[in-house]
Amino acid sequence: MTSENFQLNTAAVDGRTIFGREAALRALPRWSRRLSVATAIRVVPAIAVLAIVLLWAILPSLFTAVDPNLAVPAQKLEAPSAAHLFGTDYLGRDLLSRVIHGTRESLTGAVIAVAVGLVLGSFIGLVAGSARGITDSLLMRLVDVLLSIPAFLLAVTVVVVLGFSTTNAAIAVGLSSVATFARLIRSEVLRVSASQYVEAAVSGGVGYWSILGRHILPNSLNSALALVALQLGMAILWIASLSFLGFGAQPPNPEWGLLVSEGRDFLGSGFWMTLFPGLAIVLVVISFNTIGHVIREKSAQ
Amino acid sequence: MLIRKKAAIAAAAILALSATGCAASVSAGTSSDSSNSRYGGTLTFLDPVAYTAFNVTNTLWSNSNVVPQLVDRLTYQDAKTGKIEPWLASSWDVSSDGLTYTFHLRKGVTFSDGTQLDAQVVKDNYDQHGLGDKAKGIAADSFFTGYVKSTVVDPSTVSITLSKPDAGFLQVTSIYRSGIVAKSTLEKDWNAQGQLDNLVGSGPFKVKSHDANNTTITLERRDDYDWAPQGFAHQGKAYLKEIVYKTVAEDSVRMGSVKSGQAQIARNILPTDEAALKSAGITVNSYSVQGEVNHLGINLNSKFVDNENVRLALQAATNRQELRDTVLSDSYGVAKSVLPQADHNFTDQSSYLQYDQAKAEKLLADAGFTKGSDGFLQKDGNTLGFTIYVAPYYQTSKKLLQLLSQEWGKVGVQLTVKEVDSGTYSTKILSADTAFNQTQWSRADADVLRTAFGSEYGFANKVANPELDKLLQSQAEAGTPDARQKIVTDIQKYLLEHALEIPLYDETQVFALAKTVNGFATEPVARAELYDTWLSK
Repeated sequence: MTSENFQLNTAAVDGRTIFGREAALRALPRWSRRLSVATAIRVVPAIAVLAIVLLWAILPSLFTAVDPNLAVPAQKLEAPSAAHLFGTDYLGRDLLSRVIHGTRESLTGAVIAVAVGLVLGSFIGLVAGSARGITDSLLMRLVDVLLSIPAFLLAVTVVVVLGFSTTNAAIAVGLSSVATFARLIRSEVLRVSASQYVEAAVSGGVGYWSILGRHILPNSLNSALALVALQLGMAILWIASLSFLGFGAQPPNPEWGLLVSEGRDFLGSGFWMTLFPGLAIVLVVISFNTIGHVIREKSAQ
Repeated sequence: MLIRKKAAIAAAAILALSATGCAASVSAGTSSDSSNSRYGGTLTFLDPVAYTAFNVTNTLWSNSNVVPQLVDRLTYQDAKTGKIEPWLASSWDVSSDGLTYTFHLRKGVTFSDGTQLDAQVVKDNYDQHGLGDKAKGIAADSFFTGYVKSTVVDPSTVSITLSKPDAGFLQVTSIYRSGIVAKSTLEKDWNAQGQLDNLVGSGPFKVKSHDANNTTITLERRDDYDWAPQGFAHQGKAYLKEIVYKTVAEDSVRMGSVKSGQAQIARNILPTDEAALKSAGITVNSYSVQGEVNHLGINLNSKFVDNENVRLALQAATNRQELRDTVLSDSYGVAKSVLPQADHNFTDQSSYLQYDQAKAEKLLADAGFTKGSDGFLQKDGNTLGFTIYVAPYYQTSKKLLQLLSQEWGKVGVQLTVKEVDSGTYSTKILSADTAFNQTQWSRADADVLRTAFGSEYGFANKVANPELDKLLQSQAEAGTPDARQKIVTDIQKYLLEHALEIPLYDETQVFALAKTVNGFATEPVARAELYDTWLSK
């Protein structure tokens, strides 16, 4: 049996004992039964990572009772141990607690960034794709100009203008992804506009704004979902990069990028200060990317 | 003056290091080495800070570790004793009113372009410092306040007139930033003087080459150099044939280069890297920077800190020992006055600097503050809180201020630490909203306090204080060293009694030296002086 597009035939299962992989697949929620085993192997750990991280963000105190900003100088630079699973930093703060409490800042930043990109980008794409003509040309040339500026450079420039904080870093990252969303949404709008149900709606006399709001926008957004997942991963990475460079979160805030940056001075004497926050960033970004790729593959099928 | 203040702050910068008092030079080798074998070799010196304009008055740490090899000064200051000795001036007389200094110049001294040192070129140098030159875009130098004129008495004698007595003036003539440059340099405008190729001095080395951005600078020895001060360990030409300076910002790369033998000296070693380097067989030397201790300057126009009790409370809430032990290393001295322990005018004022949480709480309660619901003190609905900006010049600033924030938090004072770019930083620290800024001025003379606090100079507190001004001025006019020492002690006491600054630690420079490096020394404010340095084969 190949693993590709393996689908469980529920009728055939009835009346006989199932075990092994079949049983495992059956236990999965209904939608995932349509996923291949190879895909499931990719998606399940990614979802698990994101679920844990989401819980860290919502209820950090459930996972650690230690104050992330409490410095105990007598315990500085302690290697990972039972008392401090991730070790302690240069002021004697518990690193596990700091990584957990830093999650909210990092995730919130990523969500703000993607929301900014999605909302502004969708608006531009929708207007350009539906208005066509000179409006389309003008907006798309504007988008071309935006795309010609290296996105990270644009983000740094924006954050310098807005001032240093995680929210501003998130807005900066969001603004620099507007062009990507605008392009995608515009092409989707063009595709959807040509579909029969839109033509039917037009010939049925439905108004422009109704068609836009009820038919074109919802159907275009479907394909934006994959991009949203990819952009979430990217936004986390970029916000962490901005914080690493000192443009984002302010001390003693335990934002992940800032943690890596603070640990950099201690690569020789306290590797755990960079390793654990770095791992958190890597795992979350890979998870978002995996989910984004799977959504794209599924929607392409 | 603002510019100068910034330069001085910059100077204080990036390093965080320091030692408890070994400002002195390392002795040069053992007598078993034949001294001929010391000559030759190329030394590579790594600095984390990019080089900027090469005007001699630029006190940026990176630049000021290059310039002392290129320029000589009229006088030489012994780093240990603080005593002023002859260099380009073989002797001098001071008039009884303290207003005229007459220098008798050493003969046979040449600049690296072949021109002779004479009274005229010394006058031209000092005129440019003391009076500035508008046409060339050069501002008067605040170290030369009170300078009236120089007069050429004869080709090897120059006399300098001041408008009022200045006990620190002789020391000014010994600082690398008063280095004597050739006529060809003086003729250029300010910008052109900042180009390394135009810096022509009489020092033991001269510029050989450099790349476009000055990330690599090569100096070569002057074989005809023969006018070293007696305080140096040898005479004649320098030992090293060439010195290569390189900018290497990444700490781990600097450390790795010294460990692997690709470089011989690295400046600015992080406190946390010291132990690892020592265990790898690298020499880690620390040099206390004379001048002020690293401290929080206070803008008295700010909210809350105009109240002396609040300042005294913060003084008592600052646990200097904990700061040193946690963020720094044993190389750094815990501040015991406003001057570092290595300073020859230092007197121990640690009774003012004891950590005492109960005293801090009582002072704040007496000042009318009560605990709010958020745990911080407040009065009339205003939280007792301050914002402080991470000083871009000190690598350990962000760490130290976070710990300080926790220490002050224990007595209910909210200290918010913010990090901004260096452009924003320099405007923020001038604003009255910013009560505290981490700073330090380097200068191996107690007059540094006048430069920092005097209302006509740095004016650190930004509020007129005639009593302090009078004290600062009187030390400059004191007749004898003993009388001056007494006044300088009074100034140290005054500044702490009224908590006009919050001392943190003795500013220190830490260098990593490969095993092959011998005879490394620094001048009094811990800038490398490589004349006596030699490499064992």
